[in-house]
Amino acid sequence: MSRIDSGIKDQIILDTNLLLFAFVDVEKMWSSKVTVREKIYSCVAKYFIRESPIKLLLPNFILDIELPRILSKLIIQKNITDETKLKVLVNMSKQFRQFTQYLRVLEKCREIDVWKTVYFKKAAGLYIALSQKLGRDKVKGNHQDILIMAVTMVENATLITGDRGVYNFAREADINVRMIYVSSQRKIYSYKADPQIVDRIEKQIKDIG
Amino acid sequence: MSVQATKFLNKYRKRMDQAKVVLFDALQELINAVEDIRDVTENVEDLKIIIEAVEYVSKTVLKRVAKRLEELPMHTLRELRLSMREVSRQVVQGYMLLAKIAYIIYLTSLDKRLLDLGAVFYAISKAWEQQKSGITYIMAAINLFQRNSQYALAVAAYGIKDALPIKHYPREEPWQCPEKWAALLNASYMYEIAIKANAELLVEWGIIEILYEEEE
Repeated sequence: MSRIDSGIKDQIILDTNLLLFAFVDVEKMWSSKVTVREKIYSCVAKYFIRESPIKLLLPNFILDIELPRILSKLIIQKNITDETKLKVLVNMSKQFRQFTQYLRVLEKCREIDVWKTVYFKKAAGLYIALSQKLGRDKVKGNHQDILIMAVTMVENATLITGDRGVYNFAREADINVRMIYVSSQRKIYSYKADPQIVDRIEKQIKDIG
Repeated sequence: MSVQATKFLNKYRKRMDQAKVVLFDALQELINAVEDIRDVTENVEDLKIIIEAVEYVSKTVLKRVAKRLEELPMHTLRELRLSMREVSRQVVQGYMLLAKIAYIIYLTSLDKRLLDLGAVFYAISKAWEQQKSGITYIMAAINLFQRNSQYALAVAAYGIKDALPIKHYPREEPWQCPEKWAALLNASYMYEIAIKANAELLVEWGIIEILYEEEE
């Protein structure tokens, strides 16, 4: 059976902010409530879902903790009490999992169980290295980002993020991790990443308005 | 309809019998095709045999129908094709809507059967959009759905694979791994319908703005 071969064999990890918009597709929405940045995130995340044979790695830390945390926060902040709305929002987060289950069966993505010593050892080492190079105050409170970076390094993957802070961490401390930062200004910043992937992302987002 | 009845009659009055035969022959071929597919999907357990039978119907019967219809007067045939295109457009939109509704109801209940049903509606719309042999696979999928929904989704996915947005086709044939082929259709359905519906709901409820703040 033939596949569409992009020629890129890399493994990708989408940071929480991008992965969220893989499940909430605002790319073609015409609404004043949707910003260009969100459209870019949706576009990039969807590209990595449909593009073969790039493999998507999904740390369960993002799926089980980060995404539900965001949804629960917005339910509370928006003061949503309507029974049907609540049911839909709670179930939506379960549907995110269902979608990834289909992608897993297809071998399009692989779930990473983060609760293993190898990732935490790497993360602890990174925390020390970053603290020494950038100062403890700058690194403090960023343990989720450091854990995701550690998973990316252990899995020899490329992290795609919309968070400038994470990108700056890696660059300023000269961490040996492949990373692409997708900015809201449609600019793509690459750190040790495959130029082909950067090129593909740029092509995908160039017409988003 | 731009075929005018009087014009058609005047122009082809001497060939009415021929046109009648063509239409009844085409209809009979279609009836046979529907019966063949129903027969195999109701009585055969082996997915490989089911798919081979559907493939045979697609390649032979439907071609024969198209060939018979070509015997209709050229002008009529052209108008027929144009009308079919218009009908297809509306059918595509209708089934896409049904697929979306099934997903929204699923969100209130998490009843997995609704997801599978939505995926079938989605497959019907993709088959009409594609206007190729996919529609025979969809007929088989609908017949199979009550008996074995995974088989149904696998057959549908296999028949319309070219039209699906996710091109990560399983290496195995559908009868070797129906689970993967069903997942291909389900994932495409999520990709094209579900995640857009999620966005519509979140934007409408003003939740997207909070997501934005979250990332700041």
